[in-house]
Amino acid sequence: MQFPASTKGSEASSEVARRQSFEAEAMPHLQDLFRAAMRLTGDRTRAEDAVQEAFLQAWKSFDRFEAGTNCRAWLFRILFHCVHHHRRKWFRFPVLKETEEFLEANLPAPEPIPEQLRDDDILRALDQLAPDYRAVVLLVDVEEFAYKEASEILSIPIGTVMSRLSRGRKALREQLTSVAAAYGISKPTDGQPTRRGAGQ
Amino acid sequence: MTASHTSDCGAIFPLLDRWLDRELSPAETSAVQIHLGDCPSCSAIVARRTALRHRLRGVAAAVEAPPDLAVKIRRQLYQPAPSFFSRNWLLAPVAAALLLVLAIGLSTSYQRGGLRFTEESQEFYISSISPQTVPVMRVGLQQHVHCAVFRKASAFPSPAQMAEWLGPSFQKIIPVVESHLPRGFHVVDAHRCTYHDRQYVHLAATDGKRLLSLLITDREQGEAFESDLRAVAAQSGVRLYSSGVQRFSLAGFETPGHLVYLVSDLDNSDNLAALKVLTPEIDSALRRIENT
Repeated sequence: MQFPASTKGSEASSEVARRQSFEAEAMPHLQDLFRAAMRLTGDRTRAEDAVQEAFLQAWKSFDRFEAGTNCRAWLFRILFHCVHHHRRKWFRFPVLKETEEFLEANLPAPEPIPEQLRDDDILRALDQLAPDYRAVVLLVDVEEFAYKEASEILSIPIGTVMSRLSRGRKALREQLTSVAAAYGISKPTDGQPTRRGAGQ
Repeated sequence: MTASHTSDCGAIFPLLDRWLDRELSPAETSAVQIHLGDCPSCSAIVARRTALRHRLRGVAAAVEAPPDLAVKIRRQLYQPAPSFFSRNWLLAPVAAALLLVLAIGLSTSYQRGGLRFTEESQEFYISSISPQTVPVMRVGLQQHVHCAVFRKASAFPSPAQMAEWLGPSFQKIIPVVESHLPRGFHVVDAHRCTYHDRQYVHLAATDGKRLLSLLITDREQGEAFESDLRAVAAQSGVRLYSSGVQRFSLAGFETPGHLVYLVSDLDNSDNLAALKVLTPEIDSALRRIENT
């Protein structure tokens, strides 16, 4: 069956417009998505896989994306959905229960001295957070999303974002303080770090 | 004022993170700002937390996506996957006619009625079953389903044609595979093809009812069965890995330069046994290729 030339022409130009719009709205966020996927999966191949899957899903449902709304948050939501789909296979460790006992046990939170820490110490501490805590710390502290945006990306209430963020940050600070202690950096009473050991 | 600092700190301290996040109400923001102007210990905590966030943001941002990732994504989104027949445009009408005949003859379903012969539904089916196995196994699964299951042809190429398609490096594998296949199976197609930007050497075999593919592809950086699976057997010192997705049984092994897959409708144990038989010959053939 032959379609009228005008119909074919209009379909082609609509497809071109869709591509141009996707290139302008979605593709610029590729680096951000890969960076987050790396932290969520801990593996470059899995991160690439997750990002490719997220962009494929985004392309398929791009007609449902409302122009003018936050495309970056929309893409992150798709990415988290893709990662969550593979989560049972990828993350071997159990998710921590959000109990009051856990909160109470972590109330006294030390404050590490960032200048004394190496880059890979900081990344490792982030990667070692339980997945649910890592997700909110990543979204708010690294990707600078607002609580409301993080709650929409993760499909959880804002109150849960806030409690996970609080616990995740505490766990991160504790982890980094332990690293600093292992280097022989103590936390003095005057707020300035000192080094113990020979030659210091 | 020291006494008031101490009493204020208890109320202000829990708000510090939300103040840094700009998530407080105007009244709370104002209270925190006034307190920080007057309290060195809370100000020091805020300074450390701000510095930690900057470090965190900086080190996370240092991770860069591979340069070819955008290219891969654009190909996946905007270009249809190259078909078995696309290497020779003369075969395109034949392919179309063949698919039409197959579509009419077999209705619109394959086997249990789940697979329909449209490009979009094929891709949808492949993408829906792929997550059921680990990424390294998907490489073999996707090509088997895409090429052997969906693109199966009724007129099979001659041995000379298959040898020509595989080229001098890989054509010697055809008789090796033919002589080591499970009982009743024969090689019916051997060619090089591309799926989702990845090159394969593909030998397809059948016993008239069931399909089997031996697939060889270049091993890309970081790809290893061991990272996602535990070896289930070894043959001649080569570790073998196994997986299954719906009716498809998957087994594979790796050499320094290649990934090798056997994907079939056989039982998992039979599929693994079939790869075990093939492994010594295929492994040494690939290592010879890699060393030349």
